[in-house]
Amino acid sequence: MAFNKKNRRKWDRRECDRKKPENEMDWMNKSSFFNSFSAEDKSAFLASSPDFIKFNPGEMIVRKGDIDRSVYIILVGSAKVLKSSGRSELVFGRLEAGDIFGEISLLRKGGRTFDVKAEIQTIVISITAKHINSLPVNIQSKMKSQFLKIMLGRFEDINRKYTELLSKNTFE
Amino acid sequence: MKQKLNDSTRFSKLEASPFFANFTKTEIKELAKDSTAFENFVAGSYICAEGDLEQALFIILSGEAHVVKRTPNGQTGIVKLKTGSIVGELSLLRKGKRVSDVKALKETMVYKLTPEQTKAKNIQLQVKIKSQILNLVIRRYENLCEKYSELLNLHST
Repeated sequence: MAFNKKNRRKWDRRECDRKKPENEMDWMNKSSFFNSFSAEDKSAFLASSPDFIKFNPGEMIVRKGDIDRSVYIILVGSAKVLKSSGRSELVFGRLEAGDIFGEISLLRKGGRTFDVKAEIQTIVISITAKHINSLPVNIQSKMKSQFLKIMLGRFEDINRKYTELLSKNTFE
Repeated sequence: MKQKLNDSTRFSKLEASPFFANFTKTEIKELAKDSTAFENFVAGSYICAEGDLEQALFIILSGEAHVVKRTPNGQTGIVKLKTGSIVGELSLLRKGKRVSDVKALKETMVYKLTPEQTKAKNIQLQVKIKSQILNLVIRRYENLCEKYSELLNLHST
């Protein structure tokens, strides 16, 4: 699936390597995201031509404010979620293989709210909500289950961090 | 308390809930067939309690509930849940004890979904339910990220 040209201009992907990895199926087999997918499911997913993108260490995968309708699945590598605060950059979180980001694009159009930077060489799948909804229904179901599992885990994690920081704030 | 409702009342209850706003009439009719999923709670009663082992998600169809946390000084309200909200979503992640109490603030009707009940629906309907739950979880996560980010900024300054 080709990126929307209108959107692509708004992205700063000039330096990223958009070459497809040598063997997409191998990357999917290694990724925990696809653990519940059978070989047939993975083949059907690949047949829909999702975008595989490779980023070098230090490259921005998304920038705050980017208009982009994709959700990203990290197959290999890791990335930092950054939030600019004045002159400094706050590390908001760290994403590893099997994780997702950009999930808000599943909800609505809008700019990205964080920067995401590759820590090491990172390969991602970029996929839009429209693309997901066009997949065979059993694959949609597995993808949604996996998204839900990841988001629930992430919600639980941020809830714990928030509560800890809040109590630190209260008692300091 | 299980609520005995006729088919059309069950259908109307689901149709009126924002959770099912994107569902077709056929899908709502299918969901309404399961009379055991409808439960009614009087004001002050518990929809679920901290420590419960039940693995179920509740969709609030009418009324209002409060998520409360037990503290040494009594109960502290964390969040109010209105019509269309979900509660107990972490039970979808794993089996385990409930981490909070959920108390009905007024008469509250819920649609209860266990993993078994969800799996019994046709796959198209399962995807629709999952999508709607996912949307609510993403929104809830986004709101909490904003609050956390504000607090983090406060700490770094």
